[in-house]
Amino acid sequence: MNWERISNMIGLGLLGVCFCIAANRVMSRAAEQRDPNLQILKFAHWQLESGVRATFDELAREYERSHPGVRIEQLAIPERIFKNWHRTQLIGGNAPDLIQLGQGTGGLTDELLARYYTPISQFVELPNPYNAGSGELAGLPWRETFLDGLSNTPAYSDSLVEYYGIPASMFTVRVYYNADLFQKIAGASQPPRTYEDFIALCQKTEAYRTAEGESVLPIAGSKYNAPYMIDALFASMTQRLTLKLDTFHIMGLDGNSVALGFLDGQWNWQTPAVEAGLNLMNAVGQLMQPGFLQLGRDDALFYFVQGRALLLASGSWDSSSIEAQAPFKIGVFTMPLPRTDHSQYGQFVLGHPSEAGTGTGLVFGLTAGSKNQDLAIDFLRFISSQPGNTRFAEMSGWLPAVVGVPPNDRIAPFMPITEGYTAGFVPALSGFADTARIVSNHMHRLVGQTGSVAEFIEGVQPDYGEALASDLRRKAKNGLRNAESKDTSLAANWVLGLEDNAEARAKFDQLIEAQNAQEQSAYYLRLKLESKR
Amino acid sequence: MLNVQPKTDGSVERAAGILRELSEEADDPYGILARYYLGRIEQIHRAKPDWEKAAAIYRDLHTAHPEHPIAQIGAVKYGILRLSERVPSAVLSSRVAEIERLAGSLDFPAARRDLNLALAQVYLTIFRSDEKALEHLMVAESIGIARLKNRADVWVRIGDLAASLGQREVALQYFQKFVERFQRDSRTYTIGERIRELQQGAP
Repeated sequence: MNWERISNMIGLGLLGVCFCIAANRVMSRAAEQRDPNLQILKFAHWQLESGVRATFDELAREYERSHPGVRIEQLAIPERIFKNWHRTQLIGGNAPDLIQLGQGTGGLTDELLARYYTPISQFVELPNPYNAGSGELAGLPWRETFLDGLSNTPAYSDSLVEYYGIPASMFTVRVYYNADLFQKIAGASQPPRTYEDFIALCQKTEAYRTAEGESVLPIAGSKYNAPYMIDALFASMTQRLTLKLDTFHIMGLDGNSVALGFLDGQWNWQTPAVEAGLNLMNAVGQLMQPGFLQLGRDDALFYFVQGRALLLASGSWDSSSIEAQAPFKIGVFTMPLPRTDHSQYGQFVLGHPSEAGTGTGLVFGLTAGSKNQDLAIDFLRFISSQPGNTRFAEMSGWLPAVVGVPPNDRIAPFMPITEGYTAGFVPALSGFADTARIVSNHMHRLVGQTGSVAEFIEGVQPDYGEALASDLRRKAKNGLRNAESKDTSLAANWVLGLEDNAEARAKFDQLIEAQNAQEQSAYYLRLKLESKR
Repeated sequence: MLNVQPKTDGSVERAAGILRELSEEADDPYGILARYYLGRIEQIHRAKPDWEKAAAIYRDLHTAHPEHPIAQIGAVKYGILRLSERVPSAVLSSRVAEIERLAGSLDFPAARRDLNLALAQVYLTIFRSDEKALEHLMVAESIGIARLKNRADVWVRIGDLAASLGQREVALQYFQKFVERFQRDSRTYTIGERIRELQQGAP
C-alpha cells in the first residue's frame, strides 16, 4: 500500500467521521424539536461586540433555570449580511421568534413590519410582572418603564400606530482617546472641551509624530466612524439655518423641509453656513489617515487599539470591545463643536445639540410566524425588567434602556446629555438614500488628502437637487402606500367601535389622524415637485 | 381584497363591485361605509387614481348624510383633495373658503380636527399666513390630537406661531405644556429657553 492510498483512506475516514457527527447533530436536533416537552425560543441580533453575546447567554440561562422545559437560543448574525439574512428568513418562513429591528435590517418599511411582525401594543399597556418588586415600576404599563417611554422607532411605528419592539439599550456617540498617548502628547489630564482645544490637540499630535518619528495620527477614520465626527461638525453649522427652513414651525429638524428648501433656492452650496460646515469637514478629514473613506469599522478600530491614532469617534456600543482590545487606558469625551463665541463659526451655531430625544435601541420585534408568541413576550418582559436590564447593563457595559437602572461607571460618560439645542442637518439627509449616495460618491473630494470645498461642490452640485427630488418622490409614494394600507384596519376598527369597543374607537381616531396627515403630506410633496418641473 | 398582495386591477375592481352592491342595497351604516370606500378606491387604491370621481363620491355622501361620522370623514378626504390640486392662487383661495365653511359644519371630532389640521397646513405652506394657521391649529388642538408625536408637534407649532404673532400668553401656555409632557424630546431645552425669554418680555 503506497502513501497516496493511505492518505486517501485517511481523508475518506475523516470525511466519514465528519458526516456521522453532522448527521448525528441534525438528527438529535430534529428529535429535540419534536420533543413535546421542550419549547425552543430563538432570537437573532447583529451585535457581535464584546460582552453582548455573553450577557444574553447568561440571561437566557437564567431564564431557562426558572422555566423548565424552555431553551433559549441566540443567533448572532454579522451586520454585513443581516439585512439579506433577515429578508430571506422572513420570506422563507424560517424566521426566529425574535429579531433585532433597526439599522441592520436595512429599510424596515411599514409594509415589511405590518406583514412579518406582530404588533405588541396590547402587551405594552399592561404591567411587566417581572417588575413586581421594583418599587416605582411595579404596576406601571410596560411601555412607561423605558427611558424614552417606548416612543421612538423602531419600537413604535407612528404611521402604523402600533408598538412593534422592546429595547434593551440606548446609544450615543463620543470620542474615545488613548489616555496614555494623550498624556505624552498633551501633557494634560483633561480632554479638550472646545473646538479650538480639539484642533490644538490634533496639531500637537502631528508635531509629536514629526518630532518623535512615531506613526501616530490624530484621528482614526473610516467610512463608518468619520461621519460621527465630520457630520456633527457640519450639523453644528446648520443649526440656525434649520430653524429658518422650518416651514411647519416644529422648531426641529425636518428632512423634507430642508430638501424642499434646497429645491426652492432657500439654501445652496454657497450659503455661508453650508460653506462653513464643509470647511470644518475638510479640516478634520485631513487629520485622519489617507484613504480612510475606503476603510471599514474594524480597520479604524484596529488602527486605534494598535496605538496608531490618538482619537476614534464611535458609539457606546463599541465601549466594551475597545476596553477589551486596547492595551492602554481609554478616555472618552463629547465631540467639541464650535461655540457661539467662535470668531468665524459662532454666527451659525445655537449651541451643543441636545441628546434628550435619544431613543432606546437594541430593539427586538416579535415575528408574525413565531409559534412561541407567549413565551417570546415573557422572555422580553424578563430581559427588559428592571432586574433584567440591570444585569444586562452591568455585564455588557452598555447603556440601560429601563428607568432606574444605573449605567456602569465605564459607560456613564455616554449617558445622553439632555441640555442642548436642536441639531442642524447634514448634506446626506437621514432617510434620503439617493442623496446620501451622491454625497458619498463625492466625499473623497472634500475630506481626501488633496480634497477641497470647491472640488467637492463642483462634483456634488450637478446631481444633488435631482437626488433630493428623487428621494422626495419616493417618500410621497411610500406615504401614500402606507396611507392606503390603513383602510382595512380603519374599517375593522370602525365596525368594532360601533359595538362600544373603546379601544377600537381610540385606534380608529389615531389611524385616521395618521392617514389624513400622510395623504396631505404626500400630496404636498408631489405638488411642490410638480411646480419645480 | 384591497390589501392582499399582489394587488391587481382585477382585485380592486372585485372589491369595488362588492362595495357597489352593498351601497345600493342599503342606506344604513354599512351602506354609508361602502360608499365611503368606493371613494377611497377612486382616490388611492386604483393604479390611476381619479380625484374628480373620488371628490364627487365624498361630496354626495356628505350631502346625503351630513350627520354621519363616516360621511364627515369623507368630507375631510374631499377637503384634502380640493386643497392639494395644482390650481391658480385665486381658485385655491376660494376653495379654502369653501373648505373652511365645510370644517365649521362638521361635528364628528376626528373629522373636524383633521380638516382644521389640513387647513392649517395650507395656510403655513402656501398662503404663509401664521395667523390663520394658528386659528385652525387651536381648533384642532381643542378637540384633541390623537397621536402623541403629533400632539408634541402641534403644541410646539402653536407656541411658536403665537410667539411670533405676539400672543405671549398662548405661547407660554403651549410651550409649558410641551416641556412638562415631553421631557425627553430634543426640543425641550430650546423651548425652555424660549419660555424664559417670553417670561422676561421678549416677543
